[in-house]
Amino acid sequence: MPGDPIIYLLGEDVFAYGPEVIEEFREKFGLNRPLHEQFMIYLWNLLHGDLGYSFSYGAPISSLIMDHLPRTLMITLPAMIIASIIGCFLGAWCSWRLWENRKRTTSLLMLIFYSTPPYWTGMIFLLVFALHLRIIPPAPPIDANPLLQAIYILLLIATLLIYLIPFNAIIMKSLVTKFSEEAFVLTAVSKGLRNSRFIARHLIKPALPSYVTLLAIEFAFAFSGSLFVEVIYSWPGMGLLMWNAVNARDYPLIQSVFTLTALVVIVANAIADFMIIYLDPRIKGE
Amino acid sequence: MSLCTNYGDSNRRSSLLRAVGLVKIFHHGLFRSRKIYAVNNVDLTLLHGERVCLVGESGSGKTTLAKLLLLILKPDKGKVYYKDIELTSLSKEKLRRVRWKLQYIPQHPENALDHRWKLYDSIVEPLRILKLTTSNEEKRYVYDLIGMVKLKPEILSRRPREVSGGELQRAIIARALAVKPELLIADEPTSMLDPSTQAEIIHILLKLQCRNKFTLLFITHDIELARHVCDRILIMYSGQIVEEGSIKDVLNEPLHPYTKSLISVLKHGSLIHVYDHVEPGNNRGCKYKHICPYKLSLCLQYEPPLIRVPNNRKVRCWLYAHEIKK
Amino acid sequence: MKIPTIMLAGILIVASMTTIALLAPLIASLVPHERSSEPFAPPNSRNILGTNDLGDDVFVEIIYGARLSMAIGFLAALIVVLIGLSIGVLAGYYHGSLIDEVLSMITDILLVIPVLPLAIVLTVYLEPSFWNVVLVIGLLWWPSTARVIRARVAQLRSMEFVSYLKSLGVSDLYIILRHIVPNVIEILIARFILAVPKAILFEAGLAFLGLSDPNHLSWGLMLHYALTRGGLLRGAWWTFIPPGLCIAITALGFMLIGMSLEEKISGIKVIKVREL
Repeated sequence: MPGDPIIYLLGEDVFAYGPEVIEEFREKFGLNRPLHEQFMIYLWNLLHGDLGYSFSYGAPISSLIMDHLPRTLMITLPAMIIASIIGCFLGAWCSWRLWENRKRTTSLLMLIFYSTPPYWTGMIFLLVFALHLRIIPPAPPIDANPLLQAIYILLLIATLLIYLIPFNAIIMKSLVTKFSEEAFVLTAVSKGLRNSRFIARHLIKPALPSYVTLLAIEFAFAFSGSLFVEVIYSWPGMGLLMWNAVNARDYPLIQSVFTLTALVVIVANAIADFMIIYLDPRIKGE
Repeated sequence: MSLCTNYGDSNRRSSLLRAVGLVKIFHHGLFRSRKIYAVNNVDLTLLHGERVCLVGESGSGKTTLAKLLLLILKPDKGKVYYKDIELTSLSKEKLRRVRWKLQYIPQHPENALDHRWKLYDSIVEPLRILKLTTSNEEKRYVYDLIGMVKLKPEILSRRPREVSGGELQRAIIARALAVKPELLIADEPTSMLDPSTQAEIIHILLKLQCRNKFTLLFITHDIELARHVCDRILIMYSGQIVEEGSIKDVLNEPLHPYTKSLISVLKHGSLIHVYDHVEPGNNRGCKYKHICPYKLSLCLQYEPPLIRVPNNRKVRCWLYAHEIKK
Repeated sequence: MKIPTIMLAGILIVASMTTIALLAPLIASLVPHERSSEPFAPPNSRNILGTNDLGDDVFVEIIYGARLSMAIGFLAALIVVLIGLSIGVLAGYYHGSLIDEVLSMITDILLVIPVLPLAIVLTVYLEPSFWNVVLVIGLLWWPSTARVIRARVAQLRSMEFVSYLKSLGVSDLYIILRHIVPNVIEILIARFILAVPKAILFEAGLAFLGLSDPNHLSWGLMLHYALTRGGLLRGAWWTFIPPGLCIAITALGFMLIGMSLEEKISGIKVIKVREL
C-alpha cells in the first residue's frame, strides 16, 4: 500500500522480512486496526501524556516536540508581537480619513503584501541573501558564531513579518474605520484638530480591546505562516516537523503536531473570548 | 368628522373581534429577571364596521396589543375570538385560513415591503398567494386599488426606496386592502409623515372604510387626531385600558384622571403637570397612582377594575366605585 | 454603477488571468519552446522563462498552471459559497432555535480550528487529488461566509414584510426562496469573489507542501518542485519567481474587486476579522 508507514519504519528492504514479521510490527503499532480506532487509542494515550512514537524520526513524539517547539516559538512569538504593534499603527494611520491619498496607497500596499504567499517571499529572501549576497548560509547555522545565528533568526522573523503585518493592519484598519465614522470625530476634524495625539486617544484606544482579543486568531494565522517559513529555511521547528511527518506519512506524528497546534489555538481563542467579555464595556453593561 | 355616520345602529352589530384577558410579558435584564407587563389584562371588543381609536403614549403597549389581537405575538394569557372562533386555540393550518382577513398597517413603512421587489409585485403577492384573482383580472384589480389610494400607475414599477414615505404608506394600505379584509389595524400610520400627507392618508383610510365597511382600529398617541377619525375611543395606559366610550362623551367629559390630563393638553396647550414616564415599581394598586392628583388610599392598595358607567362607557378608576352594581 | 478605479484594476487582472487560462494551448503554441532542452537553463531565446529541473519550459508550465489554479480557485469558492449560503440561511432564518444553535456551534468550531494544519491532516488521509483538494478547501472555508449570511438573514427575518407574509400563511420555503435569498445575492457574490483568491492561495500552500495532485501542475506545485528539486539552491530564480508572482497578482486582482465590492454593498461596514 503506498504511503504505508511500515515501509518507513523498517526501511526499503521491508519485503525482505517475512510477512509474519511485518504483521507483528503492524500489530505492535496498532496499524492493522481501522483508522478511527487508531485515533481513539491515540486520544486515550494523549490523555495519559503519551504522545506516541514517531517512526520516521525513531523517537518518542513528546521529546521531539520538546525539541522543536521552542525553536518555533523563538521566531513566531517575536514576529507576532512586532507585527501587532506595527500593524496597529499602520492600520490606524490607514483609516484616518483626512489623508485620502496616503490611506489608499498604504491600504493597497497592505493588500499586495497580503496576497503574496509567505513561502514565496521566503524563497526570494533566500535567493537574495544566501545565494547572491552571501550574507547567510542556505541552511540554519547551528554551530556558527552567535552573530550569524542572530542575523539568520532575524531574517526568518522578517519573512514572517511580511506575512503578518498586513493581516494585523487590515484588522486594525477595519476596527478603527468603525470609530472614525462617529460623529465626534467629524466635529473634531472640522475644528482643525489633526494631531497624532488625537488619533491615538480617540481612535486607537477604543479599538484596542477588540484588537487585542483578535490577536488570538492571529495565532492560527501565524502558525501557518511559520510552517511555511520553517520549511523553506529548513528551520527545525514544529513546522518542519509537520513537513517531514507529511512526507513520511508518519501518521502519529502528524496527529500529534496537529492536535497540539489546534489546542494552542483553541486555548488562545478561549482566553480571547473571556477577555473580550471582560474588556468590552458595551458587553459588560448588558 | 365621520364621512359616514354609522355609529347609530351599533346595537344591531355583531362582534367581529373579541379579546378576553390578554396578557403579554416581556423579560429584560440579566437572566431575564425583570418582567414588564406590556399588556396587562385587556378585554376588548370590536364590532363589525365600526371605527375605533386606541390612544396612548409611547410605551403604553398599543402596538403589542395590536400584535396580540392579530396573533402576530402569542399572548401569555387570554383569548382572542374572531366572530365565534377562538383564534388562540386554532392549529396553524386552521389559523392560516382566517388570519388574512385581519390586516395590519405598521408604524414604520420602511421594512413592510421587500426592498428588492417592485411595488406592483408586492401588492399583487397576497392575491397570488391566496388565489383571489385570475391572472387576467390581476392587473386591472391592482390598478383599481392604486386608484383608491390615489397613487399613479407609474409608481407600480418602482421599488420601496424610490418612493416617498407617503407613497409607500399608501402602497402598503393598498396591499392590505387587496384581500378585502374585515379588520384593518392601522398602527400610527401617519406619525412618520408630514402634516399634509397625514391628512391625505387619513382621508383615504376613512373613505375606504366607509366604502368597504371593514372595521378600523386606528392606533395613535394623538388624541386630537382621534377626534377626527373614530366613533369609539379606548385610552390605554401602562398596558391597561383605562377608559372607553364614544368619542364625543370622552372628549367632552373625560372620566379617568389620565384622560383628563390628555385632554388638558388639547385645551391649554400644555400639561397640567409634567411627569417622567416611570414604570410602576410594585404591582399593587392602580398603575396611575404615582402621578394621579386625585388618588385615594384605596388606589395605593388595590387595582381598580374596569367599571361600567352609563352611556356605554367604562373607566378603570376607584373614583367611580359607586357605579359598581352588585 | 460607477466603477471605482481599484475595482477596474482588479477586473483587468482577473480578466487577463482568465483569458490566459482559457487560451492556454493557443498561447503556448505561439511562443517558441522546446521540450526537453537542458535543465535549469536561464531565460533565453528558446525558452522565454528558462527551464526547470526536467528541462520543461517554465513559461508553458505557467500558462497551463493558470488553468489549474484558477479552476481550483473557482470550484472551491463555489463549494464554499454554496455550503455557506445553505447553512447561513438556515441558521439565520431559524435564528434562536435549536437548528441555529447547532449550526452556529459547528461554524464557530471550524472558525477556531487552525485551517492549514487541519487541511494537511485531511489531505494526507485522503490521498491528494484534484477533487480532494477542492473538497477540503470547500469544507474548511465556508464558516466565514455562513456567518455573514446568517447575520443578514436574521436581519431580514425580523423585517415587517416577513411577519406579514407569515400571517398570510405562506410556507417558510416560499419566503426563503423568493424573498430571503434574492436579498443576500449581492453579499454572496462579494463573498464568492473573495473566496477565490483564498482558495488559490490555500491550494498553492498545500501544493507547496507536496499535498496536491502530482498529475496536475499548479503554480504552487511549481514552487514545491523549485524547493525540493534544487531550483532554489541553484539560484534558478526563474523556476519560482514567476509562479509565485502569478499567484500573488491573481489573488490581488480578486481581492481588489472583492473588497471594493463589499465596501460598496455595506456602506462602510466593518470587514469582520474572522472573514479574512
